[in-house]
Amino acid sequence: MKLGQKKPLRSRGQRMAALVSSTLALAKARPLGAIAASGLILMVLVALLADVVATHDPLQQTVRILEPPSAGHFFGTDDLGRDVFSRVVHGARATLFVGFLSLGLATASGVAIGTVSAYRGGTFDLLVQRFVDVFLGFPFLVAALIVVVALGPSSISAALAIALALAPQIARLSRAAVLSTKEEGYVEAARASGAGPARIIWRHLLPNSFPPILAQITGYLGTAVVAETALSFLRLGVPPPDPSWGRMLQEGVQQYFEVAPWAIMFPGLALAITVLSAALLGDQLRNLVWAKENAHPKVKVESGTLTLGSQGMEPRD
Amino acid sequence: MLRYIAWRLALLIPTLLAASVVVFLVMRVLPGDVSQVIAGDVAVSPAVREALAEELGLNDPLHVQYGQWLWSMVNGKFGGNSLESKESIRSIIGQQLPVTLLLTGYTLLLSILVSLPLGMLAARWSNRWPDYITRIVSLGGLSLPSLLVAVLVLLGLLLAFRWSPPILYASPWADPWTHLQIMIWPALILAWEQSSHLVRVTRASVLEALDRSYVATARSKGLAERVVLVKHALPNALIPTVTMIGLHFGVLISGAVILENIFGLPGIGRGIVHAAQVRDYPVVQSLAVLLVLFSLVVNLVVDIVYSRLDPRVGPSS
Amino acid sequence: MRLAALAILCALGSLAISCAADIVPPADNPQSFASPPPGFASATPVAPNAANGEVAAVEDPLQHESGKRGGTLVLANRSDPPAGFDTLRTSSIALHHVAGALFGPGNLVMRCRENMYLVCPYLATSWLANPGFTEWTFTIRDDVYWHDGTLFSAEDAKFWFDLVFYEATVGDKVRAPAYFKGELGDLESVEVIEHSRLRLTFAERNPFFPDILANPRFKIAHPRHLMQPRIEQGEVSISPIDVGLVGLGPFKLEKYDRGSVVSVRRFDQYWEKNADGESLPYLDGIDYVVMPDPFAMDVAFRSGRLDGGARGQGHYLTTQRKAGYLRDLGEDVVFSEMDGGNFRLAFNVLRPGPWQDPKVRRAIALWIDKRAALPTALRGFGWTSPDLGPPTLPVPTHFINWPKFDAGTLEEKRAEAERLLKEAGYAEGFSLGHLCRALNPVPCEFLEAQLSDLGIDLQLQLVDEGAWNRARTSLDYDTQQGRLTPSPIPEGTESVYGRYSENPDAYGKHEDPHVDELYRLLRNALTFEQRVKLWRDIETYLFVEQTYVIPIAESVNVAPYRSYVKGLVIPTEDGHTNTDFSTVWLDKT
Repeated sequence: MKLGQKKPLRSRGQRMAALVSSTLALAKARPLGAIAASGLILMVLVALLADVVATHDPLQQTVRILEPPSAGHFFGTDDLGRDVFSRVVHGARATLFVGFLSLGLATASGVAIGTVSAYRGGTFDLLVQRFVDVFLGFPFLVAALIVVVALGPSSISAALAIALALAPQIARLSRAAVLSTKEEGYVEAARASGAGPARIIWRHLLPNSFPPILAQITGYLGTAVVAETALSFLRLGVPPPDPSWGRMLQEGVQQYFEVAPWAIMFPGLALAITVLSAALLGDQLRNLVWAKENAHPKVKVESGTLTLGSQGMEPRD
Repeated sequence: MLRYIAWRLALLIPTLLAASVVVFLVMRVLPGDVSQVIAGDVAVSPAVREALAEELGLNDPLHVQYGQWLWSMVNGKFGGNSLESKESIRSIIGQQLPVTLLLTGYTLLLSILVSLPLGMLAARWSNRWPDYITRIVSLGGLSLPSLLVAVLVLLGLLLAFRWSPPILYASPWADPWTHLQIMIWPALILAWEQSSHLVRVTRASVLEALDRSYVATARSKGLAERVVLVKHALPNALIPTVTMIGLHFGVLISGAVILENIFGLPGIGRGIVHAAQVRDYPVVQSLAVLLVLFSLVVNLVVDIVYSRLDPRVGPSS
Repeated sequence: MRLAALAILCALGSLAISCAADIVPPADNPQSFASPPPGFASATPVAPNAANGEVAAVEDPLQHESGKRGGTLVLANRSDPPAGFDTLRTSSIALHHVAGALFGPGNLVMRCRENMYLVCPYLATSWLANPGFTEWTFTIRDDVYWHDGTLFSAEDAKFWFDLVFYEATVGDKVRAPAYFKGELGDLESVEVIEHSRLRLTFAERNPFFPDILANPRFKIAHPRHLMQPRIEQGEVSISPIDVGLVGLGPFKLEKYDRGSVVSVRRFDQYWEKNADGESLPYLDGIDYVVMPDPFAMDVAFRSGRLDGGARGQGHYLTTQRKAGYLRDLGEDVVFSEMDGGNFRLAFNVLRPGPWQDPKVRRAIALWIDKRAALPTALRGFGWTSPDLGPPTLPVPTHFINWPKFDAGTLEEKRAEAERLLKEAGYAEGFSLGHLCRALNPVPCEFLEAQLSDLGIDLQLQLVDEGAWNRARTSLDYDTQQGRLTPSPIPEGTESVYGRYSENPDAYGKHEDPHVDELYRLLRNALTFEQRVKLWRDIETYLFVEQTYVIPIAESVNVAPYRSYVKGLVIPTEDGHTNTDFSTVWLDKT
C-alpha cells in the first residue's frame, strides 16, 4: 500500500503532479476501485453538466411517442414523446441529489446518535438503542408515505424519507465502531489528561471509528438510489414533471416495457452503474481502511468487538 | 442472562407505547380523512360528510381517540375495526400477518442457505472464479430494483411458457402446491437482494477469520481446510450475518410491499401502505405497532444470539 | 315526428317515466293522473305494465339468445370493496364491480339493458307521478327474495330510502345519510301504502326521479330484517358486510377473503327470467380476484387465468398494454369500450391570481392542443372535446352539434390566445398551481408542457388520494382536473358546475350568481325546447364566456374480456359503474 507516502512539497505544480501520480498509482494498485470511482464521477459530472450533455429539453413533449433509438433520439422517446436520453441525463441530477442528500442526512444523524450513545453508555445507551430499534422496525415505505404526504412531494421529502430508513442502520454501525475504539489506550489517556467528552468524541472517537464505517456508508449510496425507485412505485418519489431514474423505471416498466424496452433499459442501466460503482467503491475503501489500520498497530481490530465495522474486510485482495 | 432478557422484555412496553404515540400523532398530521376517501370520486354534501365523520368517531378529541385505541389494544381487540372496510383489525392481522411472515421467512431461509456456503466458498477461493461469480451475482442483487426484477420474471414466464403464477393466494396448509407456485417468485426475488448483502458480509468475515492465529493453529494441527472453515471460520462469520438480518428487517418488509402488490399476496406490507393512503388510522396504528414489536423481538433475538457468540457484548457491557 | 321528438327526449334523459309511454297503454290507476304539463304531453306518465307482459317495449336483444348454463367467470377487481360493501357510503368502482352480482344491476328501476337512456323496471313493476311531480308511487314486485330466503317487501324499500335520506339516531349515536342523498332530491316523506306500494313525497317538483334512481350506483344492499334490529340496539354504523352481504342480486356470497377474492355463486331464487322463461343467471358463479396491480392483471389475463379485466382507472387498458393482449390472445380477446368521463381543466377563481380574469382563462382554453392529449394523457383512447362544451348529456350526435375541435385553426386560436393574454397584461406569462392526483400524473404533465409554451408555469401540486379528497373541496388550489361523475340529466350538473358555497365539490370554484340563475331557469323550464336552449346557454356561459372549466378530451375506458364471455351488458355511455352479470354466459365446452 502506497498510502501515506508523502514527500515534502514545494510548488503548486509539483503538488499537482504528485497528486496525479499518487492517484494514478492508487488506480493502478486498485483498478476496480478506479473504475468504480470513475463510474460515480462520470454520473456526477453528467448530473452537473446535464444542460450541456442533454440533446433535448427533457420536458418537451411531441406526438412521436415510444419511438425506438435513432440518431435524433439516442435512447428513443417515452410515452409523452420526450427524449429518453435527455431525461436520463437530467434524471441523474434528481436521483443523485436524492441519493447524496439522504446519505448525508442519514450519516450526520446516524453517526451523531451512534457515537454519543456509545460514548455515554449505560441506561442512556440502552434507551437510545431502543429508540433506534423502533425506526429499524418501522416499515420504510410507511414512514416515507407519512413524510412525503405531510411535507408535500419533492426531492427533499424523498431524501428525508430515505434518510429516515438509513439513519438507524448507520447509528447501529457507528455505535459498534465507537464501542470498540472507546476502550483503546489513547482514549483512556485522553480522558486521564482531563479532556472533555466533546473533545474526546471529536478528536479521538470520530477519527478512529468513522473510517471503517465510511466504506459501509459509501455502499449505502446504492441503497438510497434504489430506494428512490421503491418510493416512485408508491408515487412518493421525485414529483413530475422533473425526471428521475426511479420514476422513469416505475412509469415505464409496467405500462410499456414490452413495446418500448429502451425507455426503461437506459434509466435502469444508469441506475445499475451508479449502484455498482458505489458498492465497489465501498469495497475498495474498506480494503484501504483495513490496510491503513494494519499499518497503525494501535488501532487494532478485534474480531467481534468491531463486528459491523469489520464487514467486508478483504485482507488479501 | 435471564435477568438481561427480562430487562429487555420489560423495555418493550415503553418502546411500543412511544412508537404508538408517534404513529398516532403523525397520522393525524396528514391532510384528508377516511370518510372522504371512501366516498370516492363523487360529490358529497358537507352535511353528509360531517355526519359520517361523527359516525366514525373522527370528531372525538385526540386523547379520547388514542385512549380508545390503546384500550382496544390491551383488551385483545387489536385496535377495534378498520374505518375503511369495517372489518375487525384482529381478523385483518390474522389474514395478513401469516402471509408476510411466510414470505419473509422463506426469504431469510433462502438467503441464509445461499449466502453462508457461497460466502465461505468465495472466501476460500478468494479472487478466483467462485469468488468472482459470487460477487457479480451479488452486485446484480444490489443494483437491480426488485420492481424491475419482478416485472422481468413475470414477463419472462409469460412469454416463454404462457404461464403465470396462480392469482389466488392459498395458505400452505390449504393447498401447498399453489402456495409454492405463488410464493417462490417473490421469495426468490427478495432473497436475491437479501443474500447479496449477506454474502458480502459472510465472505469478508470468513476471510478475516482465516487470517487469525487460531485458524493458523488449527491448520498447523493438520485439520482439513473444510473442517477449518466450518469449525473455526463459520462461527466468526455468523455474528455479522445475524446482525445484518436484524438491521435489514425494516427494509425487507418494505421490499415485500412492492412484491405483495405485484404477486397479489394479501400481506401486511401491502395492507399497511394502503391503510396509510386512505387514512385508516386504527389499522395503521395497530399494524405499525405490530411490525415494530416484531422487529424489536427480531433484534432482541439477534442481540441474544450475538452475546452467546461473543460474550463481551450483553449484560456486562 | 312526434316519435322522433320522443326519442330525443328519452335521449336527453329528461323522461320522467319509461319511454315505452306511447306504446304501452295506460294501465292501472289511470285516475291518478291529471293532464301532464305542457311540453311533456308526449310523455304522459304511465307505468309499463309488467303483469300484461308488455314491459319490453324495446326488445332486449340479449334475451333472444338463450345462454349456456354453468361455469365460473373469473374477473379481476381493482381492490377490496371499501366501506363494508356499503353502497350508501362509497362509489368506489371496486365495490360497483362486485355489487352488480351481489346486489343486482338496479334499484326499483334500472337503466334498460338495450338502451341505457331509457328507464326499465327492476324491483318495481310500475311507477307513476302526481301532476306536480312531487309524489312518486312505485309498485314493488312480489317475487323478489333476499339471499337468506326472506321475501323483499315495500317495507324493505322504505327502510332503504330512510337510510338514504335520514340520519338514524340511537341515543347519542348518529348514522349518516347516503353520500348521494342530494342527487335524489329533497324528500319529505316515504310511506308504504296498500302493502306493496311505496310513495315518496318531495318538497319540490322532481320530474326526473326515476331517471336519477336508475343510476347503477344506487344499489339496495341493506336487508331490513337483519339491519334494523341491530341499528336499534345502537350499532348505527352497521354495513352490509356485518350482516353477511345478504343482497337481492343474481349471485350470493360464497366467501370473501380480504385482499384475495370475493366469490359469489348463483342465487337459485333470483327472480329475473330470460325470454324463454328460464331463470337467470346463467353462470354458476363469479370470482372477483383482488389485483391492485394492473401489470399483474395483464400477465394473469394473457396467461389465461382471467376471463375479464378489472374496471377502474389505471386498470383500463392503454394502447400499449392492449397490444400485448392482442399478440398473445388474438381473436380470443374482445375489448369493451365505454365512456370514461372528460379530461378538463377547472379554475378556482375565488383565489386571487391572473386567472381571475376571464380573458386569461379563455386564452388558456384557446391555447391547448386538444389533439395532443389523445395519445398521451388519454393513453390512446378517446376523442377531443368540442371547443364549445362537451355534450355532458347522452345525446345522439345529430342533435346537439357543437363544433368539433378544429386542429386546422389551432394557429389562429393560439395567436388569439396570445393576444388575449397580452390584453390582460400577462404577456410575460405567470405561475399557476395545479392540483394533481399522484395516482395518475400523466395528464398533469401533459398540461404542464402545453402551458409552458404559452409562458405559463404550471406548478404541479401532487397529492395522494387522502389529500386529494380534502383538497378538491377546499379552496387550496388554483386549478384542478378532477373527474366527478356528473348526473345524466342537465339539472344534475349543478353539483359539478354550481357555486362553491352551494356545491363545495364543484369543479371550478366560483360564486357567480348568474350560474344559479341559469340553473333555476332550467329547473323551471316546462318545454323540451326551453330545456335544450337553457342547457346550451349554461354551457356557453361556463365554457366560453367565463371559461370556468376547459373541456379538453373525452376519455374512453377499455376493458378486456375473453371472447367466450357472452351476454355482457356494458353500455358504451356509462359502462364504468353499470355492472350487470345476470345475462352473462360462457360459450365454451
